[in-house]
Amino acid sequence: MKPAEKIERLIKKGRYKASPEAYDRALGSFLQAVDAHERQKSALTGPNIWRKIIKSRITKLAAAAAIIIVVLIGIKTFSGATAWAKIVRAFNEVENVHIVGQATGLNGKKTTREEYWVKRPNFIRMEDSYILIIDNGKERLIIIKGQKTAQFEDSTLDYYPRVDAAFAFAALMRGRDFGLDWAKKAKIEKPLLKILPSECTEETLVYEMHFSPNEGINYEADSCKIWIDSTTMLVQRYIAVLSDEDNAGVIIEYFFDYEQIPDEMFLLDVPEGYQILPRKLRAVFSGAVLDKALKPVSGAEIYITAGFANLYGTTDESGKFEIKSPPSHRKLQFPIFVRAFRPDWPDKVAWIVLTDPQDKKVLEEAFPTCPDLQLSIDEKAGGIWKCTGAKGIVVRMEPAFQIAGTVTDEAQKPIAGARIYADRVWLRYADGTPIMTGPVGMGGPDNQHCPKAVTDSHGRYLLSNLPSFWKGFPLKLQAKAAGYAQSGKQIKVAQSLLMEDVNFQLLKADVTVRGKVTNNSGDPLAGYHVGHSISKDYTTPTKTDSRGRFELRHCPASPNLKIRINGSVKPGDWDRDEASEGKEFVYYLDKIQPLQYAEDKKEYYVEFVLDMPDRLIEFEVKNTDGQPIKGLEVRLKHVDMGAQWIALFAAKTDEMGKCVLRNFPRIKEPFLSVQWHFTGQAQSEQEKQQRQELKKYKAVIKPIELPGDAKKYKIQVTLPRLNETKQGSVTVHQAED
Amino acid sequence: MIEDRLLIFRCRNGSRAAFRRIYEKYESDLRTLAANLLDDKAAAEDVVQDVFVSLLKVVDRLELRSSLAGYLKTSVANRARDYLRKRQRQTVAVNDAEQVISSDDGPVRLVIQSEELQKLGCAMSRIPYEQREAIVLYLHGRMKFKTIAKLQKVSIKTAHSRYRAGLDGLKLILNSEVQE
Repeated sequence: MKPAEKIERLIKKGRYKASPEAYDRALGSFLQAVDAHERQKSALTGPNIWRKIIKSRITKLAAAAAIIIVVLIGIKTFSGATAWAKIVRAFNEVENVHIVGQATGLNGKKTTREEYWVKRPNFIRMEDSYILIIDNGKERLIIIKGQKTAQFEDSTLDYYPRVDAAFAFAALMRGRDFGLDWAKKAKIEKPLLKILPSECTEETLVYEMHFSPNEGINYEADSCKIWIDSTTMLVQRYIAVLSDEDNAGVIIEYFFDYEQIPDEMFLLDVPEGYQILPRKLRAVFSGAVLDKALKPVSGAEIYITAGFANLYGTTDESGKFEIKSPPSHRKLQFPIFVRAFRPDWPDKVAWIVLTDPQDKKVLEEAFPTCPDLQLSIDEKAGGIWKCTGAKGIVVRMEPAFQIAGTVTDEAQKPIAGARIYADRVWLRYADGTPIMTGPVGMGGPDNQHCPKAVTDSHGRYLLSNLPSFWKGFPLKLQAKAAGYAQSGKQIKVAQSLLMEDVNFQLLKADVTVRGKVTNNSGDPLAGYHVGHSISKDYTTPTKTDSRGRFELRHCPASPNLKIRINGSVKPGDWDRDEASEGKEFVYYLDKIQPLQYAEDKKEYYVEFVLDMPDRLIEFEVKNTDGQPIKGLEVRLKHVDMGAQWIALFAAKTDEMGKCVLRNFPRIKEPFLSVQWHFTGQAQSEQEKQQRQELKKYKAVIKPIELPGDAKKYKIQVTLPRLNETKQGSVTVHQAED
Repeated sequence: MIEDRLLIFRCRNGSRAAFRRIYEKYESDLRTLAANLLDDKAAAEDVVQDVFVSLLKVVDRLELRSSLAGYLKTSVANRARDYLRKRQRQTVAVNDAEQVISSDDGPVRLVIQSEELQKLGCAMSRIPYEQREAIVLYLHGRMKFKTIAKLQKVSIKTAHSRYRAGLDGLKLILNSEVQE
């Protein structure tokens, strides 16, 4: 260890602590001061924080606040006799709900107020300072207050089960870009409730709510509280403190009442002086499904996938269908994949791919095209053409292929109820460019729209109605079962096959790995991604907390289980100002550690110590005449190093043609680049000349090897001029420490 | 962080428990910081107490740009500097390590009293205060150089070089004793 590091560590050891008596004395005198201060303050009657608030803001956090309502009023699957289940049931049984919510920035400056009215089953109204939305189950009116505009559209409540107020709320918020997807993505789960006996009264029960932390949003653990009427179990009020990754926080408070709401609240009246905008339309896809003999097929299911949008419908008696896009996707991205089949005809499928007629690339296969596409340019998405509907889509049934197989555990015992789904197909354009969103797409929430199957009691599954044009393209299958690690397989089905066999063996996922990540000076490393793997690809389900700790649950029980720390901070975590200083950011190499696996051991603890990068690399750049070259940029990088790091490991040669890179990680084969690199215009005539001079040299861009494990290296580079036939050279030696 | 904001919020509403929590949460860190800056246990206690009491006065208009911890640490650093300035005027000699390594009956007790630490304390009092400040704020205060630079009203580079120079100075003073 370097003496400097040792001193640093030594200094850190110098902790001071008061003796218990001294501590009590000091705390006591401080609390006395607090009391004295409060007495003085109350005499002055300071203004209430809630009253200080003037301005409104709508943020992700305010949305999160509303999302809590979504949780609160119930994802209906919460059943049982727990307090939460009782609260949800009570809430979902009342006809009228009126909610007033207030979100306040923690700096006390900004606030937003929103009000909701729900009259089951069909009426919903939401209002804040910016927007008013009224939906009566048929029509929906959106009034933007600031712009003085009003716009009608179809009710969006159709898209969600009407009885479930939570979904209705989510639908409402779609108009503001906050939707159910968002809530799902944030994985908001049922909160844990803990009763606070000291605060409860005969009429009111008070609970502390605990939400599990979610991606992006934190629920301050001890600050979420809910007040419940003890006889009806109806929510009276709740308060919570939320913050996002930037630590911008809000305090949210919601009040509930259940009085009869007059019907007038749901009248779709446009206030005077408001401009009525043209009706908001959705994309409509219509057409027919025919069988081989061109007879209409009734009762066929139609799935339309385009990017993340999923549409679903069925054909009527005459084999016709008309499907409206959901309110969240009024314009659909190409290519659009339409697949129709009858579940009782497993070996038949009808399909079509709608491609962008403006796009010059054509899919490898000649696809049948749809005659009547409606297009519009999506300015927000960078001016690309999107589809706003298609009429006259005619698809014909043709032979489909099927995939069958069994899902077993390690002991070859069949797993019943395992879900198998075709995750995606990698289609390619004729020029080889892959289509990023394969026709199966991600299938939206829970992969609802991708071909899927469930295993029977013998662990057998059958994936049917797969279009034959998928043959020859890589198709990814996933198998999932409760308590087991998910397993994926990529297959390519031969053209001649009608049935492919794909078996899965799933590993139990009951291993928990906890651990800690520090560097070799003992500092905990926070915010680093931790993942596990039993093969090549690593998951990254978690990050280390502020103390460098992590917990990975549901890891597959396998002797091959390895844990990886991703040592380089992600670009998003960089603060530009600090990056320029360089000091605060350390490039650690990824570290992979296998576990000391034992079959009956389910919990592991791993400590990772990442080595501080400590290499010093000296460069000397000369031309073929042995003269030093000044002003060239020397860079050394790791193969997968992000751009921000590359900038950090760069230096310019001085008068002697020398430069130094410090704190370089111990990478075996870094990539060296030596070339001119100018930013901006030349400031002077002299600089201009220098640049001209430098441009005469060839560049060196190649991987080099740093032999051994030394701390210091010296790299000599000889650069030939552009017109020279001589070869340049790069020599690397270990230098004296 | 968010807990701090909530605490501040509660403090504004006059919560004694919130003040107490802030005290309990930060007292030890601040004391360590002050003691390392000042080399004087009693003075460190005074400084920390002052910082907490001043929080009472500013809590209503306190706008946290970064964190409460940051605010408190900065306050400690500023007050420590004020204290030293006053003390210099009173021409009281800066004491050496003896004072840092306190006896058990004093209010400040060193958790680890190694020989090395004694020597280090001695060496620390011999390097210029701005260097010592940079070292203590960086290592004990876990402040970023950006913050230290702002506090010292110098550039980030200067703060960083003060830190480096301080360490070099310590290395020189401690000479071979800490070398392996």
